[in-house]
Amino acid sequence: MTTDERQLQRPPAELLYAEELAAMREADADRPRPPGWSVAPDSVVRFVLGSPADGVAPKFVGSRRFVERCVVSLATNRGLMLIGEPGTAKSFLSELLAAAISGDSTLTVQGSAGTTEDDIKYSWNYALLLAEGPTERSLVPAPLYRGMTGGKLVRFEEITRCPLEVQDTLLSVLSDRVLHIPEFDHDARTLYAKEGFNVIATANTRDRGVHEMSAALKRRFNFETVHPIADVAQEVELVRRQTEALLEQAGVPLRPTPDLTEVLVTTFHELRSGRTVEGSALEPVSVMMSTAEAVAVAFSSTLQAHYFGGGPVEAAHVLDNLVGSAFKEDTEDRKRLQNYLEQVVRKRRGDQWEALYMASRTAEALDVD
Amino acid sequence: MSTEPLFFPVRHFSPMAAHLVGQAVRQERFDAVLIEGPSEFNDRIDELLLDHELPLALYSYAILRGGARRGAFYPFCEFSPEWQALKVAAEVGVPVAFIDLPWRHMAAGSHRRHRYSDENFQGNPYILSLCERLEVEGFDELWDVVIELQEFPHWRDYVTRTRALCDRMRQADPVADTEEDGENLCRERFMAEAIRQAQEAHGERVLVVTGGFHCSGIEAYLAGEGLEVPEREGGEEEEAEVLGHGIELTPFTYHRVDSLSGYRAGLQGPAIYEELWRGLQQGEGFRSERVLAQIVQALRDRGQVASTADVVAVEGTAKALARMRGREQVWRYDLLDALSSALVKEAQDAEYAHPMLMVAREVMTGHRRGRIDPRAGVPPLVGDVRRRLEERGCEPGEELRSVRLDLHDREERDVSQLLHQCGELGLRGIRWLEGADLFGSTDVSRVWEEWELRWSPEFDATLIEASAYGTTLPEAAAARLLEWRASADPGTGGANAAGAVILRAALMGLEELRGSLVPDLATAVVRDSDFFSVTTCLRHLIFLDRFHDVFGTDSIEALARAVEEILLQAFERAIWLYQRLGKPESGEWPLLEGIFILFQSVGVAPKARREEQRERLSLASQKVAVDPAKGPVIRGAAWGICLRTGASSKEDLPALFGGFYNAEGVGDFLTGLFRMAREAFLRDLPFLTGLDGFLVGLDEEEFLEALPSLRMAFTFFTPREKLEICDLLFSERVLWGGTPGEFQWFDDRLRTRGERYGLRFPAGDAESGGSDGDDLSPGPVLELTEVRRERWRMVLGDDAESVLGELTGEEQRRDVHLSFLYHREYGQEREVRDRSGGFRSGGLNVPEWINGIHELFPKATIERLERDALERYQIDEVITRPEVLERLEPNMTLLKAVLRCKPLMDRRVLGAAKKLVRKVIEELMKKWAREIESPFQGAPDPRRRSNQKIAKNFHARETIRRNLKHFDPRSGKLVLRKPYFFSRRRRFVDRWQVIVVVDQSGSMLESVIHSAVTASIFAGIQSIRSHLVAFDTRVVDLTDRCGDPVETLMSVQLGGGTDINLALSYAHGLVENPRRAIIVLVTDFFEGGNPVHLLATTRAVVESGVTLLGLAALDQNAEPCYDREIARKMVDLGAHVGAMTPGELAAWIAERVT
Repeated sequence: MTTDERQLQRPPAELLYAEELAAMREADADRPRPPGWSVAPDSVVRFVLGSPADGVAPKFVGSRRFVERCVVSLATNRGLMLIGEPGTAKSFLSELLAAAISGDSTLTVQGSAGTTEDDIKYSWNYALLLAEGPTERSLVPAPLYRGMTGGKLVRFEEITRCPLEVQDTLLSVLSDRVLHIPEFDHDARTLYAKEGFNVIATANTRDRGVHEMSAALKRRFNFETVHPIADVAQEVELVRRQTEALLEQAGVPLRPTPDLTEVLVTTFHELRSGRTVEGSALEPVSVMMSTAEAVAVAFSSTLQAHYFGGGPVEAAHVLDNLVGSAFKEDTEDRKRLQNYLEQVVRKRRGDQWEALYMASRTAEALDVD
Repeated sequence: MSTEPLFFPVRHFSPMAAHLVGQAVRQERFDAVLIEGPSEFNDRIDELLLDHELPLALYSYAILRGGARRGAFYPFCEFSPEWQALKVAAEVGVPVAFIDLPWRHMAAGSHRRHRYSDENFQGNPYILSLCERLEVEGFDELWDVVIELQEFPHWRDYVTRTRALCDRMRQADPVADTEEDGENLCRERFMAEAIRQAQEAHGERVLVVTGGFHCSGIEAYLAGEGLEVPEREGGEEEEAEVLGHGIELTPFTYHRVDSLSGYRAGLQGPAIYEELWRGLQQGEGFRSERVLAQIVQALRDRGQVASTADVVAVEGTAKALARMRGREQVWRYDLLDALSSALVKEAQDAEYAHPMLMVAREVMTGHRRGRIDPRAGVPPLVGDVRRRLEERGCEPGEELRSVRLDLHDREERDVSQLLHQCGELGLRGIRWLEGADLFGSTDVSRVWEEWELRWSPEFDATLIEASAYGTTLPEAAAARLLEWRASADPGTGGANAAGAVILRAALMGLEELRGSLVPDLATAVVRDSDFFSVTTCLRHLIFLDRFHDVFGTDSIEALARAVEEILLQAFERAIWLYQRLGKPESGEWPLLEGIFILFQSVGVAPKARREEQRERLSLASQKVAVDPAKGPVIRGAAWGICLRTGASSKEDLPALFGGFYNAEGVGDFLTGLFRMAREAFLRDLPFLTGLDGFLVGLDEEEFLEALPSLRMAFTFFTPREKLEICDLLFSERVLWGGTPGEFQWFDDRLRTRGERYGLRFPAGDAESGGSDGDDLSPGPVLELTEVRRERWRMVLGDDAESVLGELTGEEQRRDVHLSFLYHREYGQEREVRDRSGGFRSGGLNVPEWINGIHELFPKATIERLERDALERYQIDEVITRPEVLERLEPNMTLLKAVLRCKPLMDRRVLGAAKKLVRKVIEELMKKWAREIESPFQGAPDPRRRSNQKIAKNFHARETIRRNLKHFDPRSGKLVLRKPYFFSRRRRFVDRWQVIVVVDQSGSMLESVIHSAVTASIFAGIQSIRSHLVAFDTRVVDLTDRCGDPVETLMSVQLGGGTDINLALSYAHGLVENPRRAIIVLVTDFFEGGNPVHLLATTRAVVESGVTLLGLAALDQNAEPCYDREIARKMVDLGAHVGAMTPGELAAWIAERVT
């Protein structure tokens, strides 16, 4: 990485893993690949899931068959739709896929209520438009245009937050792989997508219903559901890794102890799944207890301990941040959390579990009445 | 020179192995073919060669000392290598035999009841590393990839590869070849011995078809190098433990072979392996297109959308997946993944498979059911059931007869269990007639049942049908109960249902099964958030606990412990919910019973926990008792608990009475209090005199208002106790002196009145105001005596007659009318003999009663009495006579009752009923009209966007005009400072269609009423077109009557089943423009038909663009009770589900429409 790149707040995946990708491209140079792809499909899977034997770092945690399905979807003539609860690393996965397949994860449309067709396809430099008429020079390409001309993957984040008419812009692009530019003359009117072009969209199950996709558009996507991580140990490892990266960047030397991280992640895991690790059932909470949220709680607890406590990170910090950030306003959920603390945590043995229970006895944040 | 036996290693259920073993047996002339299978069947092995339809199983069982039966299945499919080896060997005339250790030698120690399962390979280290290397998930996929989908030029190539794989697996297995693996070693030694004997009998060249895992072990024993088998396994003493044994041929099903259907063994998707087997037989390999075609057909049969384009996409995706996974052939996983990728257009649940994938899995599992050739004799279950019934002398005969059983008697209990098992299997002709109310009763002394027996041809038919469930009656009954439990969605069954299943298992005496159901119960308890359901479950458990002598809970210690654990969990859960109870509209009665159960449960808790539980209940009750948001009955009950646990004393009560100053509330409070702790008040003079003061202090109207609830409260005392109360209150000692100092229980207002009636209060505390007692005239002492006597007599009822004397005139009539209702409280449960037969009031009938109460009581009292009559005592006849009907106070309760009884009414009554309905409806219309209409008036136009810079809206002319001033003459160009855009006007909107589809099942009544009202108000709104559709198992379109809710309601037929799917499909057909249509589906989502169809229709509706709103309730409270599982699935499919009041619904629709 160059100095400039090192100063980036968050470098894109293709820069962060440039070496791995270069090695793969070289290795796959003579292997059969889908047209327009820089590496072979199985290499993409290996890049996403990691492969210690080949010196590829693990990145995304999920089942192999799931990642295989995603990769194959992109090689067909349908787009890929990643759908799931917030904080399940949908965007991260789409970034990794784009970086691996196209070597570029920056062709991104961020969906929102204000997204217009112009943000997706192209718009005009109006001064030039009037001066010169509709020419290539006066056209301002948006990610879709660039992806089609460059044969690259285009990422469309939070697609269901866009109004329906705007979403449907993708219809002809996905089915005919063609973009019409009515302003241009004759031949130039139709922009054909170069091989390698496809779309990865993400949508959030919690937001669904804001703008449900049309059936026509749904048909042009393969849907893949991203589930929360099922294995506690894997999740602990991931949270530890990411918290460390965040703290590193924030210049904080303090780290939560491994057993505290484990308690935190186990708590998240149990509340999310409605099942304790011993297998007895719980009333699941309605707020999203995502891995990303766990990282945020671990991070903010450490910051709190570092700046205001001066000592190690304690269970009380975790509880404060858990209630404050994850549980926010919902009193029903707080009651469920209270129930969880009373029914499950109380019976657990181990320093951090006991500390967590003690903290819950005195925590003001928990008072629901 | 001896020849070594040739090992043919297999995986049970392996098409490739089955295919190749057939070739091997045909090609080589072996002296014998030896198969891993139950050798105890060898003398009947020819039976297997009859003309059966597969799958079938050999079922071997052993009866252990102590009476426990242990059975094991050896299932065979067409593609089982064992089966093919057997068939082909018989065909070419080679001797064939099973060589595995008989089940009876393993029965005592083994838990693997499916003898051809291989689940213990999943964690094998060698397998794990191989999976990682080959990038596959798990043993199943691994085996498929390295064996099933390979091409072997010769069967010997298969043998070489499989042996290599299995031997390395065995080496890596931490248990194999150690003493811990006793069972396997035993079997292998036995098999080695059997092989040697076969070689002696038939010749040296034998083929041994056995699980690949065992080959090297058997070889070791053959070579004399096998490990010494530990003594405890299969030793002499073990043999002595087995009292009897047997083996039978029985039909099997693919469903049971499938490992996903709950048996946790076998293989996933038998039908797809059968397809592979057929492909191999015809030299073609696996034909994925055929399976895909079947799946598509199945999807379409169920109304799911699977277009040709979809199918093409699935095929393409599957091929691409296979290729990426390094295979030419598309296989099961590729198909499933491709289906999931290309067909499912929504988020999938991590736990429950999507309906489409369920269909695919169903196709892959297949529906094949085995059938045994009749020449092989009757299915064993038939013989077993006949023998058992005969043994107990209760086989059904041609004559109808009934059997009465006392469950405390051991013999008769066995009979009862037997009959319950038959009942579970649905055997026609064995019918439970009646019995002690096991669920409701608190009477422990008598537990009895009565059964009715009669033989008919259907008895045999149902018995043969049931034989697929197992070979013995308990087996089959257990399988049937499990199937029933599994068919209910795992998330649905509330605690109540789960508890009931355990109870059924207990009634059938199936202890082992009961044990296996315990985890399910634990889950249900914790997930359930309905207090009533959880406490009912608690009651089931307490009941089991209390009658453990009948149901034998504690004969299995682990089970007893588990049940104890759940009891504890249910208790915790109930405590939790107890504190969150609201104030239900439908009355607090069920909740009161729940609290009582909760309290009882403390009493039966194990000693070690009793104190802690008492403490927790007490703490919770203290909170509930003072919570103003709770109803008086609940608070009274909570106080009762506080008193009994010693958390508070009676001195704390006064503050509370103040909180319920409405007179009716005091009675309700006492009802709760007495339910929990009546004994505490029985001889409590201070309390009684306090209450006395309260009673006397009420004015006439207040007293009458309070009377029903007070009367109810005192029904908790037995007649004898009531007499004691009278004695105490009206004895000389108390009569006028009272016990001073107790009256501060009540507030000053009461005091003042009391004083006016001549009650005396202690000195020093007498600064009473008495401002609002003015309306009462101070009466003479004598009058007070009379008032006291009368009032207490009315509160206690005619049980107090002998002390307090008779009533006269109006009072007497009131008393009779109250007795009419509240005598119904007495019965077995109150430990008072049922007196419903002989009301002393003498022949009051319902209309007379109605007439009576309307004459005798003020309005508030009438409403209370009517409510109790309808809701608590279900006296519906009040509304089947017009003269009765006309007298009734029109309100919601009555409206509901009228609609419930409508089918029974004759024309005259209907006329009166209609009047009543109209009155209530008019009220409702008035109430909701404004709220519903207002959102549709003057709604703002949200689409006005003026400044959005979109190329489409670029206003060139305006831009040029406004920027002309920036013309640059030097370059001859116009420089744009600012571009201008159109603002788009909203197009005129077509009228939206609002289709209200309402479930007319009884539980939804209030919602039906409100739907009718809402739809009629909608009909008057210009901007929408409304439809109204009612349904049960049929659909009635009421759109043309939609304007008149009374007509609508009178044409509603309540009850019947529920076919939501049908109604939804019908509504979908009404839709003209999907993007402008809203279907409001009012139902509790308890679908009577197949939920898969409903979900498919939901999907179709949502996908067509229609807005689908499911309402679990549409009424004033919007407190729904509904099938959450189905509702959740519908939400997942894109429907909106909620509960709303009509006003909220209007606002919701208005938001979408405008």
